[in-house]
Amino acid sequence: MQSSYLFYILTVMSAPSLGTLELAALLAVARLADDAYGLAVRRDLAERTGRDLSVGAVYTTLQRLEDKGLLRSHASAPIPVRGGRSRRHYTITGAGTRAIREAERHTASIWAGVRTTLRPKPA
Amino acid sequence: MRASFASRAAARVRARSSVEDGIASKVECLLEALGADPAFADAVLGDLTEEHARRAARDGARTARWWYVGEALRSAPHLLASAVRHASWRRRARLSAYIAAVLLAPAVAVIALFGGNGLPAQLVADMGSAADIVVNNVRPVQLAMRVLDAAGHVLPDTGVRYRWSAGVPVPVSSTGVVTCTQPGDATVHASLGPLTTRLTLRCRPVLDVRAFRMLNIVVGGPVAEVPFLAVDADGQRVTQLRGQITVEDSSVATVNVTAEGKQLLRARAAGSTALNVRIGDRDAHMEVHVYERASTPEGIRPGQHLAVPVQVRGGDMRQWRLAASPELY
Repeated sequence: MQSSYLFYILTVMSAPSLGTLELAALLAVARLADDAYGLAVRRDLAERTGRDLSVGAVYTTLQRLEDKGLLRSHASAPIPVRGGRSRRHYTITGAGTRAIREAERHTASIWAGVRTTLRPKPA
Repeated sequence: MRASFASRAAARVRARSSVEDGIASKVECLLEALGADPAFADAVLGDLTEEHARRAARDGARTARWWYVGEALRSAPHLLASAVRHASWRRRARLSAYIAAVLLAPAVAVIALFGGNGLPAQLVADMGSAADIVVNNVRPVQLAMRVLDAAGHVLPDTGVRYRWSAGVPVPVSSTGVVTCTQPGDATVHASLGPLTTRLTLRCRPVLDVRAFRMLNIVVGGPVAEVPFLAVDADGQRVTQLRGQITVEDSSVATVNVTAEGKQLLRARAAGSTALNVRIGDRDAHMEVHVYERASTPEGIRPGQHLAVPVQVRGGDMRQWRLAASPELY
């Protein structure tokens, strides 16, 4: 009984931790909105981070975010240019939105107190 | 999800570009083999095809094809990791076994090729023939066996054990040190774990090797056996011998072994050398002088290593005028 209670506390209190790539992918999905599918996310990440991620790496990251409940996905109708395969579109869940806010807050708190001269200039 | 994956197959076939006919089907097989979720595999393959089409229009078909293959290979580890993460524990164990096998296969192959030997399968005498060992030593001598695996690779000797079993009673230690205290044949068993080999130990102790001190031979002359005699403690000739004959300067003379085991001394060029005969733990040394053939003895000077064959019958006497020798010659 005691262990169940402890498990419940830990589950509720700990927000899913996000790695740098996961956060970047989550933000890409947020930016792309209705057009967020694997290839578009990959291009967005390549433009913003300069990293040429493999298709498999992008989908693994998106799948991990879906497993954490931060994204949900649905398949489109088959598209000829994809060899008759559908696109898997991703949308951010409520938990995903909260995770983005939390990450932003976390970043702000890390940067708090640092002199403005040390801060990177906005792009 | 699997049903929708299958239901779109017809539309997929209609819309397939040429690149998909070959590579995509292989990639699909790879994804299936990796145990990827069909929906996940569908999304990855769809992206690969879409990007391939875009690149083919921009960079050409060949470049696009290479990109497709490279990207599929780059994606494989991620898809495998995803498959492992989402599989049941049983499938996870199977995938882990596959991964371990793939990772270990090169190491196993390298070991098998370069260091890899199997279990000991054969014991072969390293002295003499496979089952007969001639020992001419008077002093204790170490028996040597080669341990081979089934493929014939030599394995390190990890402790062959020996024991005397029959014949003339000669001391044989468990490590294979034998002392031929008397002539005769003895049977010795060599064993390594379950492997056992019977050896016939032919004790022929040689107490002395007698040989000429000096040998004169002619280039192109008759080839003769190396003249030496091995005798036992009773002064009797020993015929079964195991030894080595070496020539110090092989440009002057060589020793060739015939199929019958005869050691033939062959002159090669004028000069002098030494011949060493070692039988068991006894040896003998001979000086060998090799001469070139000359037509007449007249004009031959000392140290020229020239010789003239001369036949004389009983009562014959021949005289030649030779050049004066140096004082110290």
